Amino acid sequence: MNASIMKASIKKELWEFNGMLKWVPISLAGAFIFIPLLTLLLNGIDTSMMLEGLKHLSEANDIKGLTKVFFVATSALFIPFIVVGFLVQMHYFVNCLYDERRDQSVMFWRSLPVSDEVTIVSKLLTGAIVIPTIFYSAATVLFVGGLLLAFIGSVILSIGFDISLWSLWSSAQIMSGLGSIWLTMIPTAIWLLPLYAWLMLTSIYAKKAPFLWAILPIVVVLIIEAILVHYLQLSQPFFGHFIGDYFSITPDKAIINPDDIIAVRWAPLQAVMAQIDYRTVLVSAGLLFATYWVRVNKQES
Amino acid sequence: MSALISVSGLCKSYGSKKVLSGVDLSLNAGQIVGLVGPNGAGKTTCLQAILGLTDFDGDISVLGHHPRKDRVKMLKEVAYIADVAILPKWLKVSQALSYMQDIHPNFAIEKAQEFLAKTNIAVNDKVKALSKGMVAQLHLALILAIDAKVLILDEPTLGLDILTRRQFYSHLLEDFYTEDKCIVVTTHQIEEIEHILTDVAFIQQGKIVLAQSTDDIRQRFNLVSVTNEQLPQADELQPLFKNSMMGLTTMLFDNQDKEILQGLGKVTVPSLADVFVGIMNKETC
Repeated sequence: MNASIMKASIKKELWEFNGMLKWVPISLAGAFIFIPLLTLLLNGIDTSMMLEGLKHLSEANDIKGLTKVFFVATSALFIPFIVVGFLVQMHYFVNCLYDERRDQSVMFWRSLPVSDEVTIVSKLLTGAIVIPTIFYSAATVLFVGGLLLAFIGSVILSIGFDISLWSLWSSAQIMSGLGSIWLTMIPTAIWLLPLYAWLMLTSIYAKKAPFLWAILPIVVVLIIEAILVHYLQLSQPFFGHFIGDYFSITPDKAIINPDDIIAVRWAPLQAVMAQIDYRTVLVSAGLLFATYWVRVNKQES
Repeated sequence: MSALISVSGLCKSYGSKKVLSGVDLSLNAGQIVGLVGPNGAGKTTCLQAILGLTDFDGDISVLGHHPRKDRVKMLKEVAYIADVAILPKWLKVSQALSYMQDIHPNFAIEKAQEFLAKTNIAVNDKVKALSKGMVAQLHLALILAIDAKVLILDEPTLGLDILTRRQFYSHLLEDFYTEDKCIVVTTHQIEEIEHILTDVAFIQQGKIVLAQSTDDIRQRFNLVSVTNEQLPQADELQPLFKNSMMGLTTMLFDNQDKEILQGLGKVTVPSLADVFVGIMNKETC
């Protein structure tokens, strides 16, 4: 697989979904900036109370607690970006192969010396890795911007008000917290690979309404299975159990001590990693092969 | 001379419906071949099989490549225009140029830019902002900049006005065609391109019913304006097609002695459209 052709193919995907991939993270970051500013403007700020609070904070001794609070705050900043990014990913996967069939541009793309393997893999990489990277980056830029403001604030407090927050900076363990969040991205992509592959299959197969094609067959199978389980008095539905078990992250899958900050920090990664098993490989490989097969053999003109 | 495209025993069915039945074609360098047939004759399916875009039975070799097994290698030397409307609406001209340069080893961006400079298309334009004729020009610019040995055009000027259609074909001859290349074109407007064709293949119900050089066709077929008195005599020669209008009957003859035909009326060289209509109506005559 030629790397430069793969790069060009991913670039092409970004051009196609440029509006959504640019404006959604920018709008979200904008909301994070302007909503607090608006609240401040409307409610005003009690400076003396704030300085008092900061002074207490500078004298705090519970370093572990502060580190945990800082990590939770960082995660809280990332979670909306991850959730919205996930919705954008769903939209991308449902449309990535459907749109080019709808406008018939697939005939143009397939008249060029780019293999169907490269096309499928480039779309998968764009949806599974590149889109989350864009949203993680937007959250990181916002986070760094916040840190910069906090640094300026610390300097002002230190010089003008004799309040030193520098000890908080060292206890915050910024890079470790940020790194642990970023490190969950690839395992999450692997864990959700069966879902992405299923959406790509519906995207290449559906003649109309690919979103419905993505949902309805699963709902129908679940209903039929539930009826069969009820009438045949089976212990539990196989398909329903499979989906429920695979996509649910329960606390028992990441046993942690809440006082251990390192364990807390790595818990999401640990929980995601616990979900990846032979099912991930088998289902994803099967669905991706089916997508490739439809692309090669059943591409309508 | 080895053929650039060689098709033998090509068959294709969609379910129980047979679209192509035993198509044989051989296309060489220097040829501009018109693949002509009525709607549903199997032209597009035939081209798609040649391009490896659909599965088929039979043998196809394009520049020594099997279209299905070596599609990517083959497409480095084969260019294709399916229809003017297939460039995606979101694509910018600059992006199209950049993408082609990145993925196509035989694409010369300067050549495409040079071609576009002669048009009203700006580099920052999006396809959705271009007229149908401009989209065709852009597509042509992208294709002409490829140093391809074979160019396949499937109804490339469908829906374009006559000026754009003529411009399209004149650019094709000026900027693409050389003696070492081969062009295959399907169109309904055969009269507009017959002057550029070196060969034609008429396809009917999935079978090639005539494949010959245009020069040979002009020698082989004759159009005779027969007066009413000569009609019984002319009918005996089994014309391929006859058309009566205002007391004069025009008849198309295949491989008949020119001297005998001159005795029936005024003999002229038929256009490819006349021959096409004659061949397609052969059984009803």
